Amino acid sequence: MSDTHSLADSETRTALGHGWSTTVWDDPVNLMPYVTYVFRQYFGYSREDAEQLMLQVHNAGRASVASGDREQQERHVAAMHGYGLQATVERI
Amino acid sequence: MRAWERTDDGVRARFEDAEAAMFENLADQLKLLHRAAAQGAVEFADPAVQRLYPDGYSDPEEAKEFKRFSLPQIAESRERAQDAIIVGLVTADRKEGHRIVSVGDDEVDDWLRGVSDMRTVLSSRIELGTGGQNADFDEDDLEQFSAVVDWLGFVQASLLEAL
Repeated sequence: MSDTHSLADSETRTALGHGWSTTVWDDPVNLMPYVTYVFRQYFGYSREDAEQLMLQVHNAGRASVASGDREQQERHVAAMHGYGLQATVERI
Repeated sequence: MRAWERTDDGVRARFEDAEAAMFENLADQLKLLHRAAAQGAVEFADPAVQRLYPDGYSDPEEAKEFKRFSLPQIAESRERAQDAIIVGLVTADRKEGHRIVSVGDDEVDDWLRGVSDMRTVLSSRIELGTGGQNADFDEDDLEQFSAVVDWLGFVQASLLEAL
């Protein structure tokens, strides 16, 4: 019972906009196939999904590539920085 | 340089001696920069450093705190990536006027990241133009940087294609 309750709680929190996301921003340097590679390599996205996200970064200037708890997003953002991508932790 | 080719356990490419020397020199410089960054001994106002170590939060206070705990590890891992490139170039199979560089599957990630860092720094210098914070460089330097950025782009793109 308590598990069900806490799950519902966390879903409510996310729905109310209390979650966190990893946002990758477009930069003028990194090549499109490299950005696709990073999304596949680090997050394990399929080629198709990684390309979709890369195109979103390229065309819209940014894309949310992961979401969840804050610590996890901070790890993701640190990893993106390690790949030379511009990324921030955002509240959603 | 010729495009990378797939081997049994990685990729392989031919680099002319002059290219390999320049590449190694860039890796050395980036390695020093990352080492200094890990020790907090870099000028964070430098646009090239800012691009390499961007803010992880839009809020300045949160960005500062995030940098404080995440930057040393990121910098050390990037220093190791440059090391992988240096070792690869130094231990390459040397021929007359060129060398055959082999990169194992487990080193590919380091090479790709390392090249990205080089392109980032050189591109920042080009964007700044001459004068001001960039007073150390003249037009000829920036033109040369531009050619190197393109060359590094080929190194990276052809490596990705060979995977």
